[in-house]
Amino acid sequence: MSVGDDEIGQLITAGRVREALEALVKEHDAAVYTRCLRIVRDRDIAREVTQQTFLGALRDLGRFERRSSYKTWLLGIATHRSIDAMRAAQRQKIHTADVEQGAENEQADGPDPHATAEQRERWEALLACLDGVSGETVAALLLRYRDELSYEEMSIVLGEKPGTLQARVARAIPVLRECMSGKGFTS
Amino acid sequence: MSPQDDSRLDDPTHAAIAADLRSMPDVAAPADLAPSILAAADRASAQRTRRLALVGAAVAFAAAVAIYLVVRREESPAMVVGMEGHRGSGFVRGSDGLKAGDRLVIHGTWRRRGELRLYHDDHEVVFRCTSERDPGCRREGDQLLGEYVVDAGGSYRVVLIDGTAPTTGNLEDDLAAATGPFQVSEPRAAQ
Repeated sequence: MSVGDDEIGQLITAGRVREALEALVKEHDAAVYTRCLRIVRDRDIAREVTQQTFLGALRDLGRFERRSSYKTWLLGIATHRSIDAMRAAQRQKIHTADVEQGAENEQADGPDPHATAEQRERWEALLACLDGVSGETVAALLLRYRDELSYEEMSIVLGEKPGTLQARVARAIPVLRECMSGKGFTS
Repeated sequence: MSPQDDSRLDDPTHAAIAADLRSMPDVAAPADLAPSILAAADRASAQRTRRLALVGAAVAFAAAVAIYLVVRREESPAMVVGMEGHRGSGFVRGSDGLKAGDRLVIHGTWRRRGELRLYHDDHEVVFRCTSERDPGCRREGDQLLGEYVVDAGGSYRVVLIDGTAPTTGNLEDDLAAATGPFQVSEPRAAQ
């Protein structure tokens, strides 16, 4: 647990919830926004879901038992809400057009100045490949490999059985592997 | 289970994909996102405060009404009626029959305006007090009293009735026509 988490915990214990929220937003807004954007693939929806995530977290701050870091907790909320938002958008049949727009925007945002040119190309290729799988699959992949959650922990976040999530991840990897190979990345 | 437990991570491409997902940098959040989140939180907090204030006001109002009703109830004791027989300077016990010439002191307690009536055989009003100004009537605090000299055998019953509705003389009809509360005593027999 980072020092930031301890400070935030102390603010909450002292009843300074507004300051705690401010610290959480300052510390994790990019991670939460990125998580939302990766799943919903639409900037406006990602922005809205990011806001909902922090407001929801604000309501539950007092009940959070700190069995994980605040970041992991927030990303869990963001993932869950993003899937809900994505499904709602799909129901409204506005998703298809936004996916293309979102995918372009994601890649434009991706570069890390400290990364090698080859690494940046791999990331951009992977982001493009992720556009070929469902938002639910992206959510499972990110929880598994980015947040390093167990399938049991993922099942709590997503409300699905661990075996279902494991199968989803297993099915996605060959798809991504083939996509990456098609873009010239073999390993 | 940790990511390292996935058997397919032995596959270099799978491992590379996992590593890329882990190391991929975050997208920079829009510059105005954090201020808008905090502003939304402040709005939500203000709404919650207003809701709490409204709930508090409603609770305070309900409590005030409850207190008012309790006080009103305490200030307004239940209707009480009764009568006592007097012969000379002594009492006539309830089990003893009254005789002509005995005095019946009837009384009723009711803070609101009411009428005290004495029915003979439940068919005739032989005495009534609406206030201490009526002949033979007096008031002691919340209690209205009247004194009647028994002049006939039969049964006597005291009624305290809310308001001053006209009487037919018949107890049953009068009670049926009553629009407010009333209280009826046990009958007292006279020989």
